[in-house]
Amino acid sequence: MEEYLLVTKDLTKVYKDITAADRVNIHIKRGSIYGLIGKNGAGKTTIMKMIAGLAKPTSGSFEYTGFNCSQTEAFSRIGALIEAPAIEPNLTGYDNMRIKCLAYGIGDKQYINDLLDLVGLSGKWKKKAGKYSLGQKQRLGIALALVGDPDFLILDEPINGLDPQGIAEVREMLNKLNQERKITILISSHILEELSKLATDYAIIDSGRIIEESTNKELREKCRDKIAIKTADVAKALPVIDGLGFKDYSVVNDKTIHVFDKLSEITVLNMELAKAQIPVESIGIESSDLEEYFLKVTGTIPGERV
Amino acid sequence: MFAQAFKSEAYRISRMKSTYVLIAVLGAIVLIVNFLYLRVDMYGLMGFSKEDVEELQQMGTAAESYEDSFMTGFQAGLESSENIAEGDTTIHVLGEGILYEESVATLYMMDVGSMYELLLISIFVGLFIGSVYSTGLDKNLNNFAGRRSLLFSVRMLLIAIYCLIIHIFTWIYCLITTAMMAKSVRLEFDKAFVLYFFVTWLLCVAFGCIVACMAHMTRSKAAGITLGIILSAGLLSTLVSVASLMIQKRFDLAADFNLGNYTVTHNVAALGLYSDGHFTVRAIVCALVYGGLSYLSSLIIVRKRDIA
Repeated sequence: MEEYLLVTKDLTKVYKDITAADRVNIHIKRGSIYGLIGKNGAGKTTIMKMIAGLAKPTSGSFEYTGFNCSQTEAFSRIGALIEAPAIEPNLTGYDNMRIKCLAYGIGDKQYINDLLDLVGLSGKWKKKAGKYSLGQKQRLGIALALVGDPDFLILDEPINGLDPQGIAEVREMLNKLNQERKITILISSHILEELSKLATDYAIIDSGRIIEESTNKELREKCRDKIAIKTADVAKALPVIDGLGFKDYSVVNDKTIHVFDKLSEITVLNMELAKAQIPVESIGIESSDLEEYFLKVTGTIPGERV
Repeated sequence: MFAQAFKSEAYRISRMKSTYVLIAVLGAIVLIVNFLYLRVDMYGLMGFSKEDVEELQQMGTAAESYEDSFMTGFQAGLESSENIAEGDTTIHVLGEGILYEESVATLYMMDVGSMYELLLISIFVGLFIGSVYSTGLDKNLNNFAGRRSLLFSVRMLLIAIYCLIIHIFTWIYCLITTAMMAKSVRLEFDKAFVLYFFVTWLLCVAFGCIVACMAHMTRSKAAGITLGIILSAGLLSTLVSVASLMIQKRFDLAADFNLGNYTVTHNVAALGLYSDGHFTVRAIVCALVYGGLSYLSSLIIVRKRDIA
């Protein structure tokens, strides 16, 4: 049985008339990189705030089962960068770091320099944080989240404002933290392509609800290349598909069949369906990346909700 | 945890420019105000000579009643004014000010009573608490996510310490200006002074708590500072007077009832070095009630509210 670090149970947050998170159940495995995918306003930040102890749930609960300690103690083992980095603009990067270090009982100045080096801000520690570029602020925010050597990192859109090189660096850094320091990471990002390079598990959220929770392997399965057949008579089409020796296929709904093997035999399949007088509305090879899949799942592409 | 929070917040204060700027501004204000008290010849400005003033004082002392004293003084004043009109008297700006011969303690009392300390404290508190909200600082402090009351209490303690620093600096500046401008340096560091120092410090802390409460409620630097300025400038005194009259009529209270007597600012302004026990106790009670209520209100807000 896999060991979970965090389990939420019907976690709900209501702001006046708006339900920002609606009975959210997520299961974050220890050592995983858990990607939270959702549109703006879907409720990602609200969920992150609740599990970081910044917002109180209206109902439901969450438990840091992997920490074996009280919730208050567990918060000490979390590093979070949620929404904009919390930076005092009139202070230098070093001072911002020192404020948090002192709050965590860390007095070692070299520790701050090491963290700033890690996020690529070495040499910038004397500069006022207000004068940092957007990307530098984001890096400082990540460095702040790493103070106290957390076991669990919560990163809300951490690559916002970073240039392509910066994005690659952050990805590399997060992978390193996950692999070498065994830090579990919960991350959200709009750049799904990037997220797909990092995450080992996903939850897709829409309108405050978790639509789907899956592993990277399961998601890749759903996103892989396939022959998509649209027909009014799925029941009659299935024996034809079986007869041609296709083994890996699934009926998506009463009009759609996805066939995953022998993609090169699409012409033969089309001909056999025609011979059997099965009306085919469309047939073709489809491949979707995470972004397309997300759009389908959340119903952003009309009529395409899976 | 308390020590960690204290060190962290103390470091933040130590890196805020306003911490030092406000102490420097305090020095400039004390210098200007004490110059007026010590070296500007108020009587000379009105055209009175030292002899005129002594004559006025003698006449006043000789008068049998308050009314006689007033009338005699008024008459003497008229005569002196006639002299000015005739051009017999020259106007002196610099000379011996009204507190020229007074002690450091008296000068300190006058400075504290002028309430500009409160103005500076409100700016400090507004900036210190307001920046928690403007920067989202508490988002970084996950280890205090379940201990927000502790973090809040540390902040209030630091406000109390800063009030003490401001209070001490006012005295130091008074000492310096006395040494520079007064006739002699007399400290008068007696029991009455220590009590006055302590009670006015308590009132300053209570005032800081009120401003902090406003900053917490509105999550705004500006709102806290504005309230502090309004209160310390006495802009609500008319409102308080009207409320006093209404309460007096409604509850059939004594004619000398004044709601203003129960405000923090009035007590700072009215408390003297040798005020009797009744006034001192009233000031202490006011400080504790206002400070306590503001502290509790802010605590409730901090505990209930999500961190934005």
